[in-house]
Amino acid sequence: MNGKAGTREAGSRDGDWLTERLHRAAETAFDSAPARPLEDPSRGMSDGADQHPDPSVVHLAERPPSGNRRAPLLGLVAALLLVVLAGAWLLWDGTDSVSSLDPAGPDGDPGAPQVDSEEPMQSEETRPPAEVVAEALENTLSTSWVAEVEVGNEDPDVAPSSATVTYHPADPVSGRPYNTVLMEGPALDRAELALSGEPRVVDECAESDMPPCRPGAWAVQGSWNAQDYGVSEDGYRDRMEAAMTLLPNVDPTSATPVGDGAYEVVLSALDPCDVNCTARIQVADGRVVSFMHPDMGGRLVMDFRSFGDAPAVQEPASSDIVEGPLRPGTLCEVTLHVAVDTDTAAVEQAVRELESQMGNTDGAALMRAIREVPGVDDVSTTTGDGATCPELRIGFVANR
Amino acid sequence: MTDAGPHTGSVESFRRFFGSEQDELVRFCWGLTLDHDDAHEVAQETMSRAWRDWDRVSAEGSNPAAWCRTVALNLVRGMWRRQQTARLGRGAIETQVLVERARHADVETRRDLDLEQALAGLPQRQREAVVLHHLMDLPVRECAAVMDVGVSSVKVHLRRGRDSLARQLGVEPGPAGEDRVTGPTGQNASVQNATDEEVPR
Repeated sequence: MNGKAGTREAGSRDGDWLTERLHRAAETAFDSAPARPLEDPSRGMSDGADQHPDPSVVHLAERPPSGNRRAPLLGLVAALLLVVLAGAWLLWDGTDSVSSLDPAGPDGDPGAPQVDSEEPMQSEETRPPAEVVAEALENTLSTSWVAEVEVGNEDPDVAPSSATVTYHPADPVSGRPYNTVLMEGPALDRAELALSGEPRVVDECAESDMPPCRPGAWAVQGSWNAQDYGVSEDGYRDRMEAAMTLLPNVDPTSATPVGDGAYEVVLSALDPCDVNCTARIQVADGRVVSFMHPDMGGRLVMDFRSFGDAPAVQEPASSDIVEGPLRPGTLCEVTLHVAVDTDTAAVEQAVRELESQMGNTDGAALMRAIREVPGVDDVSTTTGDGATCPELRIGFVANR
Repeated sequence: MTDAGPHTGSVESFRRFFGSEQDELVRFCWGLTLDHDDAHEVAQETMSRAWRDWDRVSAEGSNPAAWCRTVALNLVRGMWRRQQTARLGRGAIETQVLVERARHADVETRRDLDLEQALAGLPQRQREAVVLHHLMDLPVRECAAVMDVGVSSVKVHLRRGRDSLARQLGVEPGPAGEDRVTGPTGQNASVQNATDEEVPR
């Protein structure tokens, strides 16, 4: 680091302990391991970035996933341990299953367990956790339900607030789930938070002076009194938005049983997952009946009490994961993560066709569609909410 | 962006920007990642994107430095997502590295490493807010713009991040506390009425 950083002043926060310590820590870090200077891209990069002839598409240099570069032996040992434990679980589970089956079987292989229709169904406790959780998520996210939600903050003097959350699976037309949060309290007639887009939500928000109901928009009937709930309006909305996107992002393969039908799980899509991205779910009768997430500084407990009779949809809502801002309108820039040998020209053409067919006024929907393009592993954007731009810029990054 | 790329004049302006901002950008990325290699990678990628779109990034009325911070933040978030998907707990990795460095550090350096470790353990949004406000010296409003959240949300993140760091580091904030961020309970009016620079008691 040059002298500019070394002589930096803390400005308006002179004397603030955290500012001073952070600045000092940064100086120490760079003194002990001086940073390599960046390469000026205007002078041409020497470390292998490919420049596509089309200036609207840049093929970036390959780079390994950063986490792996610094993965210590500890990480490898942990991974091996997981494999061993998973194998032991499967062997134990498979042994019990095989012993109850007809040893002849169609291929005579005692190592290939089959389900005998006259045998009792395996209980959730004996099935692999990943299978139990995956099935419960599928059943829960493909039907409508109502949940009681309890939201609190760190202040022990403030009772947690409760709300009723309704959920409807992805509309086959819009492909987006429809969620609402209904809150009631002594100083509040009724406030309804609309999450995700759906025509019915817009109708219900017609009275509101907020923008047209997009994710996070509020429809308020009566008055909003943040003090009654012990959290700010923004804080509550952040939590509700986080909750509505957390459940579909549970990674079933991460499920670890903790007893009584409960599982510790990891959340795989992490924006806006703000906190440690683990949660605890409870499964009963093939559904998620409780979801608890240690939200930032508070708690968010959702008890799914009843399940509606909405018709099942063919497409689960698990694809409703939008990288980057939650509410992009026009999509200005998108980075596509692809394999090394991907035909990026073909991928780009597919994306342009999507852009032409769908238009570019609903960035979230366009991103979801781009995510499904063959060859695309991941999609991210730097487009902010409300951005406008003349065209969609496409970039690629090749991951090993 | 034209097919011919930025014009000569904008090449010069980019090089001036690059020369003056690269260290700050690396510093910012380090604050988010606490890893020199990751910080360098993110900063390099950010500058490459800035160069690619320089005519637009540097248009009149725009703020290229703020644009770079937003891009860098999104790149780091994407990096975190991929790392956590692979279940290589970021906090665990950084703790291991920091423990190794601490073994060979003097007292002052160990204090810095304690701060790094505490910072690494903060939730993502709290860490972002703390780095933007306290390391990059950005006012709360600009932090909110970079993080794409409301101003009140930034204040909540800052309050909780500061309190968490203070607890872990055994720090008692000063009695004046002009920079102390408070929680929302019972003081929502003051939180919402505060200026962008002030983080209220």
